[in-house]
Amino acid sequence: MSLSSPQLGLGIGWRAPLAPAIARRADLGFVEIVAEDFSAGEKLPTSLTDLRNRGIVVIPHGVGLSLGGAEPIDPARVKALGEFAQRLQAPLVSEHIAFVRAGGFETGHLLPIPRTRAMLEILIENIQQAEELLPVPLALENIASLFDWPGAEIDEAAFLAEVFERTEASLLLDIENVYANARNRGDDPVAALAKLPLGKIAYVHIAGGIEHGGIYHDSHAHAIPDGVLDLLRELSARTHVSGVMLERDDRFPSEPELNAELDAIAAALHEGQARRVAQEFACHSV
Amino acid sequence: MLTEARSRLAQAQTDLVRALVAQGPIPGGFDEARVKAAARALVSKRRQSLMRAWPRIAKLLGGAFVSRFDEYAASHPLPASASTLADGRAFLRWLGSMSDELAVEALSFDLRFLDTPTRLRRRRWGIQYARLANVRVLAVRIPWLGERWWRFSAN
Repeated sequence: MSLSSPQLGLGIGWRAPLAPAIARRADLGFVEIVAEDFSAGEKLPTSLTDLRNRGIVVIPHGVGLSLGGAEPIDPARVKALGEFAQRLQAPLVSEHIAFVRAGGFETGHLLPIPRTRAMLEILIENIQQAEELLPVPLALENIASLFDWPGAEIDEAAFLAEVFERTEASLLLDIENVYANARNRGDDPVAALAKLPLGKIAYVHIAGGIEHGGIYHDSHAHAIPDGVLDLLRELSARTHVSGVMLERDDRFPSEPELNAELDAIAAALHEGQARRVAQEFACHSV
Repeated sequence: MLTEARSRLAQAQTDLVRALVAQGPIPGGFDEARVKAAARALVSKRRQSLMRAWPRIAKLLGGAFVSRFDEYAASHPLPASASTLADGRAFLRWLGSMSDELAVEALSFDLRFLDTPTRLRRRRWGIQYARLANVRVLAVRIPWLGERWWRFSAN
């Protein structure tokens, strides 16, 4: 864990349809908002300013920088993200290890990048350029993808490790994406998780998905599968988790259902933590 | 001027994106079934975003919404702004002939928004008039006063 990563606690992706339930939840430490959903000149929704006034951290999460793209980063987009962070008094901003546009096409989607040395150099250069323009630290999320590029030279864990060694960025670990990729690649999710640079985590995303057509889709529209909660337990048993948040973007649940999911996340986190503390105690006792 | 490495990456990423959103051929070495599944997922995501952001369109089209939107999306990538509302407006434009209620939705977008290559902008003021099948509509948007709408008979 980076010494500078703030203790965030339990969180959720803020979405307007969930605002009332979020406002009524007493134990949230932070929420995350999609930066591109909010216009620079416009007032924030009252429900968000209320959360800020209660001392809840609001983190802007960008989807438009396309750090994994071939073009150098757009300074205007980075500055807008940075200014938004300052407006929210956010301790960090987050983005993705992905690209979203190419050849003049906007895809509106986070797309995988080739895991080659050449790509790694371009990605690291883009990240470093963004970091120079940002007033706060940057966390980068691992994405899920239904397919990989051919000709991979490095595996995902080693690729990510090098990104976090060679830049100042920290990892926004999305454990549902780890689960989805493992399922779709035929790998063991816990083994995949264990190889990642867990010491570089800023905070954690958790979400639900659904399988159809023999493929697991990270829909953010369904309940969290047991396998994903297990991964959170495993993560929490291996390292201190300073913040974990639920992402729910569609098919919004009722307030009791939402609260039950948040409770399950908190429980999994604590169960893992209890195991870790017991192990550390056992080691020290010997 | 991109470096050689960036130029090569740009070409490779363009080829993949064309395959995903513009009916382009799937580049060599990719798992075709998975890339096709991803392309379908992208359309599905666009359609679901539109349903959330502009539910009236799906409501007015009813059962026809899914097939008509998917047909539009297959040949029309997202607008440059990547705005969901602008995507909805482009969809309505593509539909061509439509019910009066849908035409009013299109008119209300044109009254309130301007789509630009970088982002969707809110109009401070605007005026829209349309002679529809069963009604004539005049709508005006003025800073601070908001909107006023008038409906007249078609004759």
